[in-house]
Amino acid sequence: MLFKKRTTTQSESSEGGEVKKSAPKGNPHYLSAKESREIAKSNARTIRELEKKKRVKHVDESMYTCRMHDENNIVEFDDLHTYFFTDAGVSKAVDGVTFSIPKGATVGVVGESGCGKSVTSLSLMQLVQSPQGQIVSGEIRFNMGDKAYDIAKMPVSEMRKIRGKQIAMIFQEPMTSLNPVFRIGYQIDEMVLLHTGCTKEEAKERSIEMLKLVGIAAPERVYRCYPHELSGGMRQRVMIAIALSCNPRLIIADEPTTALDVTIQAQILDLLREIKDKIDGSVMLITHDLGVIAEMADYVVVMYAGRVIETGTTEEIFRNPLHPYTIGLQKSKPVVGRKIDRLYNIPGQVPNPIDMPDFCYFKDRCDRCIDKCNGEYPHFIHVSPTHRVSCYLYEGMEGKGGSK
Amino acid sequence: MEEINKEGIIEEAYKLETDEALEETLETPPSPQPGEHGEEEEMSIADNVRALSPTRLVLKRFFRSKLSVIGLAMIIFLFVFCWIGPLFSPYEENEMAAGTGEYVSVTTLVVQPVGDEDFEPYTVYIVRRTEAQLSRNAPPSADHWLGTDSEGRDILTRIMYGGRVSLTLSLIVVFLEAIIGIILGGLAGYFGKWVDTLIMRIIDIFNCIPTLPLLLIIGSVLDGAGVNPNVRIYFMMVFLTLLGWTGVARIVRGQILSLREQEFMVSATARGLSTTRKIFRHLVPNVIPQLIVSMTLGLGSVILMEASLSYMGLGVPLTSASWGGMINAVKDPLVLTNYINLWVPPGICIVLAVLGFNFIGDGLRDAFDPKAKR
Amino acid sequence: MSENLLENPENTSVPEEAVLDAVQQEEEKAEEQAVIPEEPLDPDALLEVRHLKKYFPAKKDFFGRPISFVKAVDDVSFKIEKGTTLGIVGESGCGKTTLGRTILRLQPATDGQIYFDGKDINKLKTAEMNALRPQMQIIFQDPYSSLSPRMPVGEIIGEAVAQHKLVPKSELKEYVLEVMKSCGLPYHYYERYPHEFSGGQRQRICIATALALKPRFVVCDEPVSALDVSIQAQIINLLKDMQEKMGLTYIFISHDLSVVEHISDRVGVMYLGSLVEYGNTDDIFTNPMHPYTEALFSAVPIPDPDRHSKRIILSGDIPSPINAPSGCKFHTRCNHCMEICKEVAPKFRDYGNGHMVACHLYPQE
Repeated sequence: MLFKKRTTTQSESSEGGEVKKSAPKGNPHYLSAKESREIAKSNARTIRELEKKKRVKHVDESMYTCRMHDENNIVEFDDLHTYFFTDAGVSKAVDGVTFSIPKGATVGVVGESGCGKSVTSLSLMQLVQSPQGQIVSGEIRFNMGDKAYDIAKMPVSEMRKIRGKQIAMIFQEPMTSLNPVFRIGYQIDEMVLLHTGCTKEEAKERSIEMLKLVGIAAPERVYRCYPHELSGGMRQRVMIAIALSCNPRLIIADEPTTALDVTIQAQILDLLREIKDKIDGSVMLITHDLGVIAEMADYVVVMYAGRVIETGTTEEIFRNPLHPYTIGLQKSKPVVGRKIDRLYNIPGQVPNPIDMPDFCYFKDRCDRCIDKCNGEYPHFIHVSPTHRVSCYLYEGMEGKGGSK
Repeated sequence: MEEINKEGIIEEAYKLETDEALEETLETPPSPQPGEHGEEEEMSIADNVRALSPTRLVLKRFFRSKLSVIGLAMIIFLFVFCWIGPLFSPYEENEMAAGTGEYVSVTTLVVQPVGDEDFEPYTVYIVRRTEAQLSRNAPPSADHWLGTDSEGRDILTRIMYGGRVSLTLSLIVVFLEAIIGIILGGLAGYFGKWVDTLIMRIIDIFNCIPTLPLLLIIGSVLDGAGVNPNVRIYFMMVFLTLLGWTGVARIVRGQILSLREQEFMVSATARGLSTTRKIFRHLVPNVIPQLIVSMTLGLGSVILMEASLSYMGLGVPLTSASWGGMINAVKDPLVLTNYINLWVPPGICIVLAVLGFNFIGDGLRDAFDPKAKR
Repeated sequence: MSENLLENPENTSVPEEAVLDAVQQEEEKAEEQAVIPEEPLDPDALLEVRHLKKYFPAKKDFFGRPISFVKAVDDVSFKIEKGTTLGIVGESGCGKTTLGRTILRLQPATDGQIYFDGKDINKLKTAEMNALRPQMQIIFQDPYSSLSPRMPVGEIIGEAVAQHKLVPKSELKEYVLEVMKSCGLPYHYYERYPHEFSGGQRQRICIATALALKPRFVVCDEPVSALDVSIQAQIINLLKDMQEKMGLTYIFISHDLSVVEHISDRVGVMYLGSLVEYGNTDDIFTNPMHPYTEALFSAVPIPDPDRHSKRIILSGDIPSPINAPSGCKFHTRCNHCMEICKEVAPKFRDYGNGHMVACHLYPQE
């Protein structure tokens, strides 16, 4: 204990010396040593508490069993908060996200980088980078069929049984998400063997079947290939085959086509659509490309700075976007065959979700800002049973479809 | 070109009232200026988030690791011990402490030139033998905290002086290595082609030389040539540098090879920047972090090398203290078993120094790594 | 150390003569492609590229002589009029980035001529080229790696200006601030470091860095691909504004067709190192003639749930540029492939209004 104390004083004294050098005039863009120390202290405290909770052994099943609010949903996010405790302060990457994924549907999550769309999906897989990243509060209810689990409270050992088997994930980079030293076949077999407990022959059969399913012409040959022998599109197909190998109830596709060329992207999107119907699962599609969402999704969730700002069916979001951000996003992307002189642009930057004030995060970039926007963060307004928006402009329009 | 200038940026750009006004805006803590497009005003949220300054970011990462803090503490302790310590010590480096031990005859040689203007000058050597009471091989006591050695010299004091030699020598050697390494590695990495091939082959040749036997040979050659023992230490530095620069050169070359392909270097070429500017303003500053790391790690190995040479009596001359030379005493089986205070303390110092530098080096490597998550 | 070596570190250890030898051999083989008589330069064109080739050695024999090549740019010709934008579209690996860099002589061309303002820049001496460099600038895709990480923004923008003495030393800071202002960067960025900024702001810094040199011609190499949608629009608008203000000529390289359609006056479609179609933007987008262009356009997802366009799904992947298919390079994936396509390379012909296509579906004579 004594030793610990000494080391901290050491670090403090040298940091104190550093301040004078780097910011003689008190550069307002850098944190002062004092502030940075306070941040570090409070971060350490919070992380310790949260980690302690996680480390409890033998969690009783009743602790994380819960009830779905709607039995037709496969996943329900309920007021999820996932924070990152960084050196610059607490980054509220996901700050009160609420939406659900119905059975058999494709839900598209759109937003710009840093809006928390990937962190939401990682929270669902319990793959948030710890100890900095922590699920602070909220529920993620996952429907297991006969019962439902709250993933936010689940112990890691139980979670392993769900990952891969119940929820599978397809990543953005097909180049790096396959292990380069193992053959494709081995990597699919591994997954099948782990979760189904069948024999090796059965696993191989299953793997080749999967490769066939994802439209690979010579599955036996690809089965024996190493990842570097395949092109980007082929690798992404293999990733999809791995994801599908255990008949997951939910597939999370995190920017599955961003790293691919347009013509290959078209192939992969077609494949994803076909496969979803074949396996009768749900898809959570994370992307920044509105075009992909429009083609693939049944429901759309628009995220901004860690919050959901608008959700609705694809029809509603594209036909009748309500939130100024959703409208701006759609206007700022040029569309082939629709000639305009000047692109609409949303001014300013995507905010960094550290120390966010309690008003609408889009207020500073919004061109339809009203006085009320200076107040607290707007609550959701249900303009139709499926369509809700978090914006003061639509106050008092509950159930009216958002039209004035 | 001229026309474009006139109609171009300058006219459309922000009109400055006076030059002083500009100076003021720069001097005072700058605040976002309301702009014509209104974009700056809108940037407020993104701009208000304050980041850590680059130096502090590195320090923060460095101090997060306990090991590197321990290493730093060890090194600071050693430096304070070696440089400030002797000021408080009542003994000199080679002072033979008078004590209560056995009587020995101390032989002193006095050289006295005697000359007469009429005759050729001649020299008289006067040998004086006196009986002195020295405390030799004294156990640790209040007078001599770590006891004395076989010559009756205070061990603690000698460790301090020995540390000065080891630490200075390693610092100078590493510094010289870095200079040669940066120049040759930089040339090889930047120009490539035959320059690279030539320098890399030279490095290969140097790497083939077995270091220790060579130093042994050099040591005996220096002995044979009758080199002044006090100058010998400089020879040692030069040879250690010559044998050690290859590692630094390889690191610098590798770094520059990868940096050269980065887009900012292509951009520098596209903007027609001069070769010197590209090397010294764009490449070298980006190599320095890795260089500091390798230099810190190098310090430890130079200390070890110097210690082993001194141990063999080939490094620092026997008259002046050095950690390796002090361990030399262990050759005597009697000392090994009975007088642990003679050789364990300098050994601990060597371990502390090497470990300390390695911890700091590791900490710095993690701190400088931009991809490190924590 | 020879001067050439000092000035051209970007020349990798490839013996240029060996590459040229191989090219000559190839040319001897293709005797029927007779030497085209030297055409006079178009006075309206700021940049004219003729039969540009850039080969990278792919395999070397025991003595280090290359035996096979990646034909990154293979016989590309086009010209750009002053103040217009040429969009280059294509998928990854089609050589569009190499084309951009070869035009600026950031990589030495294997063969062909690049006339900038009437001068063949391949023939310029290194010093002459360096003097010309400020007039030809480039903006990169990745705003994270294209800014020197240990240099404050003000210095990055100002260093080349000072080097070329475009502005007197005393006015340098003022000038840099003006440029920053016109690119939408606030004053206090001057002394901050690139790592503190988001992608969009960095891309603005890159643009300011390039435009501070008062260029006439800028290669934009996927300048918005790494950015968010709302920031993309800002950067595109900024590029367009600066073009109007400074009378710039752009080559806009991108894989994003919608962006290219928005910004370009003319469009060139590249496939495996060659142009397959070239013409006015409207012509190309309303009437794509080459089957590859057609498939490319139909593959773009449209953000409108009703307009599910009929997709032309191409089978397979792009072939490796090391062993490019014989005849028409596209024949392995083409839905209209004929026998002749596999053997004879189609001619790049004008089919009216400057709309050029290389395809056997259209009359070759």
